[in-house]
Amino acid sequence: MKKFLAVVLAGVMVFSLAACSGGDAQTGGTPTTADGEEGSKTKNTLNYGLSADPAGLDPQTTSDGIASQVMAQVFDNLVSRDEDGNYHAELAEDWVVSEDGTELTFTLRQGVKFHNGETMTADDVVFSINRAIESSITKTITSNIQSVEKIDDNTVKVTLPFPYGAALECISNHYLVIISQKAYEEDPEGFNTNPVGTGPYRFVSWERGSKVTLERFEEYWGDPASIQNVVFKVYTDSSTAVLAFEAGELDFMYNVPQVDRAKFLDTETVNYVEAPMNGNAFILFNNRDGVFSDVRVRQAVTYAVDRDAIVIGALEGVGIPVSVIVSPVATGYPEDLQGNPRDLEKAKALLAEAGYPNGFSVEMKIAQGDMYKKPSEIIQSQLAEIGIDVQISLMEKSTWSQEVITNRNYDMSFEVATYALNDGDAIYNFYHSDKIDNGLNHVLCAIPELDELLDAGKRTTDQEARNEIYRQVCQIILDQAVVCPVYTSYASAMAPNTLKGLDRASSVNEYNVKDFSWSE
Amino acid sequence: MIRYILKRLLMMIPVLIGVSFVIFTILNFTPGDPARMVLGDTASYEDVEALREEWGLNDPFLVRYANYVGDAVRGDLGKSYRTNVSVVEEIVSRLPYTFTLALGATLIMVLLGVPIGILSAVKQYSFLDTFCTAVALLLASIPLFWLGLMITLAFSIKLKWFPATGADTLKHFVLPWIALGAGSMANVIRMTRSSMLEVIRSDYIRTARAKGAPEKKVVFKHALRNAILPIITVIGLNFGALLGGALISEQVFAIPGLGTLLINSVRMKDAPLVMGVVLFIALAASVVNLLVDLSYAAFDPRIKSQYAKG
Repeated sequence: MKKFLAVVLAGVMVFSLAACSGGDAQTGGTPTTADGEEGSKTKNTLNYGLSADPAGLDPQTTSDGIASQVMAQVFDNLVSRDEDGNYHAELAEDWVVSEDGTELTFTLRQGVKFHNGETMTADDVVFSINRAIESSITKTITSNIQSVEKIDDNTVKVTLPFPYGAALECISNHYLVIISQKAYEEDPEGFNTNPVGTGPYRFVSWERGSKVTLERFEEYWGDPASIQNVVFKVYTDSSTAVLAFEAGELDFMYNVPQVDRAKFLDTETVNYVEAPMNGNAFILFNNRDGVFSDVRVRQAVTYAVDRDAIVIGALEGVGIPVSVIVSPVATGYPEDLQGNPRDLEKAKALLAEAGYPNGFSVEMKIAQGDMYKKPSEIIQSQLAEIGIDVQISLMEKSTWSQEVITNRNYDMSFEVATYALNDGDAIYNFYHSDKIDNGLNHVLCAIPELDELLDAGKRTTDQEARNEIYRQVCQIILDQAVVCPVYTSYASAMAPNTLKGLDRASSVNEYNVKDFSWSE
Repeated sequence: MIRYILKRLLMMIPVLIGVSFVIFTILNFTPGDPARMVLGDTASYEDVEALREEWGLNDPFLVRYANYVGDAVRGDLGKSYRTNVSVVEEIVSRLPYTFTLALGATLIMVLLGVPIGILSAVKQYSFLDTFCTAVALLLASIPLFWLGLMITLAFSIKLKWFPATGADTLKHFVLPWIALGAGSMANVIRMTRSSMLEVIRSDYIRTARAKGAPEKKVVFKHALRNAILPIITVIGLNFGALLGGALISEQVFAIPGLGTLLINSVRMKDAPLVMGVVLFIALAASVVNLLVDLSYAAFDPRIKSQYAKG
């Protein structure tokens, strides 16, 4: 009796503790500050959440999406691109494209200061762009730039091997920011942990694994930022980040976990924004070897897939079903192209034609994570309806990378791809037959008409013409079912209502803190 | 005695070599290419190859292992593939956090766990005893992750007594200490209780009581001193494990310690960092074991003389 009583008492104690604190959290924690924490209380600091420690802070040697959040505040480009696809002058006041489209001449802004006090010169611009051209990490973006040279102290010329349609897009990419040549040459190894740029914030310190601190650069060439300090805090666990947000220790968080979306959308004091990402999720097929080398088999899959069901089941409805491989937010997205409607009879007929009247069994290799697992399981059940028995093989991301992307040892897989370039040309590396052996064409497709179109799209500068070309590209990929696009998911971000300037989520997950301000 | 210590220190060397070989082999044969992880999925095949050449990843396995050991004995554990920072520097920068976490949790374990265990043993079968045993069982069963989040919700969000995450001040460590200490405390309570119970039944305790010694002296000077060996073993083992990285606590409370470093480097196939951290943990565990063994000598003269004999 005594023993029983003790256990019950202990249980009651623990559960009551959990219940009352759990209840409060459910109704939406108002971001307030625990005492002892500096920062948002004094409203001159923005605590910005990161999901991992940056790998480095050198823009031309770091491919890390986390690091680019920090670097976006420290560096500027010659030209910047906004969410609507328009280009704005930054470090270049003006630019001129030559008649044949192979030369871009930039007139540089004068009197721009680096964080170390030096003035930006054409030499810094040439140095930085050359680094981006040579670095193996940034080459995917800069492979279409031939050279850059200084014309005079105010002018820099970029030369392209052909009239490259996405040239300005490249220039505005975060790999092509301008760094201080002097600062780099003084300490090449140290630049990675002590970056010097022209941006609205200067680097102060980096506590590895914990936080990166920046402060406002008073001699910024543009309007000085409103918030004085930015502290990037690392939270490897997303529930911890959400707790920190509720406790007021974190002011800004992007890629909010799906489970918390509903809660924060409903919370009055939280500003939650979302926008489609620049990328999509799709089923990939090995087009060259194995059962999917037959176009009819691939098409059968596209007739059997129910995209709406997958968006509801895997994303809880927070996504856009897409049938084309270019993201809805990229320039050149063909809005009118429709994929195949779900037609199980047609799918089965195609399979029978291809020689599989009773279906077949196939392995689907995917990387670990709900992002891949949930949609794959739904696809598995949808394909079972036409007799395709999908065996899902889960593996670690790095293993998946090696098997699917490097060794091309797979039949079918599921991938979520985001593109570095906000342009149709982003897919060139993935679908052109030249890129099978020394590129990223891991679906192993080799379609001559497709190759021609992709080449043309790269070399045309007239945007109307390019839109038409990419429309045809999408049509071919659709007809040949090279891959089966499924959906585009949403990027999200949130902050307390008192933070002004967060009007929309960024499709590429890059935010400019200089546009934010505290309203008190 | 000194000879004993030296002998033990020398024995650590084969242990470390064995550990390093096993880990190196495992890292070598698991799939996943560190060069590709660093350069990203979009890098070209040649660039990945070039980086692999630069890091010597294409050399034969034994050559690479020999190079690693050769550098390691001179104190050079290499540089992290991902961040290019020296492995030693990375580990040293995380050490204070892991140490603080481990030390605080161990103090809670000792200062709360041992007295509760003693109390339980002395007042066996009383209500207090059953209550404490139940609590110990509960603490041992509660998942650390859940406990961590719950106490954060209670003490940080609701009561605002402590900060929720981060590792800036000692105040930040209070909640992690409680979470970690609670879990390991259970072990200590039970071990203390059972060890004390065994000793309390002995003849010499009966004799001491018969001679009229005050109960406090009986318990602390006679019983505890004899019961302490297994208790110290458990405490030592727990401390060693905590040094190895209280990974879950670190994740829940966003503390940049060794555990987080280890798991991130495993994910990225960052071999030098994985090797460095694992070797450090092996070394720390060996040192803790040695200290525990030496403490036996401090408490039990019979063992001390055994050591002295070499």
